[in-house]
Amino acid sequence: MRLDVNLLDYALIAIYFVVVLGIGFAARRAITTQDDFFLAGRGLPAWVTGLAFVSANLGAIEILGMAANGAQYGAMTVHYYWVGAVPAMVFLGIVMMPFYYRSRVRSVPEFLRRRFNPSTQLLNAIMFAVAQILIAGVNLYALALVMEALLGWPLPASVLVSALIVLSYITLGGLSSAIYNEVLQFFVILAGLIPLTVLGLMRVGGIDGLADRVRQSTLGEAGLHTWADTAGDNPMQAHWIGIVFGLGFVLSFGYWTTNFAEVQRALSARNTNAARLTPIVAAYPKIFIPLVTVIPGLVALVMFDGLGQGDSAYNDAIPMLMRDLLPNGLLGIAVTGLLASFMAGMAANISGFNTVFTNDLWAAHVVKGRDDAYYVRVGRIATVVGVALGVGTAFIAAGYSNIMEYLQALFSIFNAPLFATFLLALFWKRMTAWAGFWGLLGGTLVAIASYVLYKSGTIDFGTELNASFWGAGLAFASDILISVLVTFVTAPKPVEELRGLVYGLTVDVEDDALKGDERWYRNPLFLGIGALVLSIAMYGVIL
Amino acid sequence: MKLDIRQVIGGLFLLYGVILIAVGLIGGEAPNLWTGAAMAVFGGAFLAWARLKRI
Repeated sequence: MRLDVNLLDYALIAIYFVVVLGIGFAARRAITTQDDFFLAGRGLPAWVTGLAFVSANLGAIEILGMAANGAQYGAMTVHYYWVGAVPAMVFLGIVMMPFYYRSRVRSVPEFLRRRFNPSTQLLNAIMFAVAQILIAGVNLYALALVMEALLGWPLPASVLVSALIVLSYITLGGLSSAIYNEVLQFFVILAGLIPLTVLGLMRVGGIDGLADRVRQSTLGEAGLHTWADTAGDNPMQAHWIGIVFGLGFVLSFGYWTTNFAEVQRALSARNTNAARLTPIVAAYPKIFIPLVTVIPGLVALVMFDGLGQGDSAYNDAIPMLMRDLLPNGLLGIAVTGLLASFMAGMAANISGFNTVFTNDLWAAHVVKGRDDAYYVRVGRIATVVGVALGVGTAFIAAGYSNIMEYLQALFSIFNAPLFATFLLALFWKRMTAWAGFWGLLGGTLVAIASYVLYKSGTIDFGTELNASFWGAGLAFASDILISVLVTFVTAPKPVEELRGLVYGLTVDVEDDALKGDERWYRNPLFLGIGALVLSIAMYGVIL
Repeated sequence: MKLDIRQVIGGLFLLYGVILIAVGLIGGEAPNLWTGAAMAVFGGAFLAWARLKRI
């Protein structure tokens, strides 16, 4: 399938990348310290960090994948947003962010060092760094595949060109360029997806026309419901208990509250209030994103007979709509949005990687106590190395795409034990340093074991989705169990060292509130509850 | 001078909007025209915001 891209479209794409690189150069001038490079100087307002937060997760794999899920499973796909994201984002903002932000750590592993010990930091930092490189590589490979299919670019060329663009703007401007570009990308993606959705709906006769035609499709009536038959037969073959606890609790809280590539965006906010608002501001667009991913998926299902069978994959839903619905011009904007989202996804991985590598591996365990200029330089080198490894991974992925898929599925359950460790760490001051280490290691090994046993056919969880629910659940439970057991046989840390890191042990930090923070529209609790209510209300529209 | 991302967003969308409107008028493609108009308005709003509340 080839898009009919002309000179005009290429001009629109080119303009975008000139702007992206321009942001890199402009952001470079503001960088002197580590906080400037790794945390954008901790000076950003909540709307910027919030949009970057949602954007860091809005990679093209996510967009194409959620449209594919929409075509395959129908309306149930919204669970990934309203159950599987919003509650965890609100929890992160209201409950966890004060600990992260006020402890002044630069990363999630650094928090683990303060709460537990350097070994826990090292364990988490290595796992995170490896995962980010592999995911960046997979992202890059997926981008190259799409470019090859849509525009006819050879695979190695698109891998190298896009890696170079990401490399230049992060090496130049550090996290500020990554974040600014994520904000810009957020709007460009919407500028492509909104017209696509509207034109798609017009083509199939509006919402009513779409509903009628979905009923006659392979999906049938079930494609228009979210909770109906979740105790029996439904398109996802998922039980409501699995959706609520597996997706909504273990998987989603694990991902959103401990994944440093996300949390980093909030750490770069200008004060505690803005940091807490970051994931909450992000929750509002997140609620509405399924309108421009799941609906196009359903439109594609009814417009293209045989989608998902034979040669046409569900993942082609959005590209096929772009081909049939968008005139040149608009097509250029939509392709730009896709390209931008691939790169932003990769940039989030790489900027997370360079921070953790520099802060938690190099500065914490290899070369300690040097000045900021030295570590900023290490950060820039880590960026180059990270991108190079990502390119290497992309080429490996091209040869062994199955292995990469497995690894990605595995990483999606890695966060579950980390979340268990955090939950205990924040609310149980007795939990010991080594309980942090062994709980995390044990939980992670259980996650790997359950996935390997599922893949080798030793245990049957039914579907891939159920396997990840169960794998994450088991990893979560064993992390808790091991942490509690180890806690009772090891000595706790002195209470004085835990101030500011554990609930109930307050610390005197100066109040960093800004003028206007007391208004209702800057109140994390009010806006957070608002997001939860809105999510539930959305289910009222499509039950 | 600090980089103000609102000016960047505003400028890019205004430029995109104007290009799409022009293409829509010349080529007669209605979707280009109304998307272009929406993008131009959006870009203009961001530029106005950046102008009214400076950082």
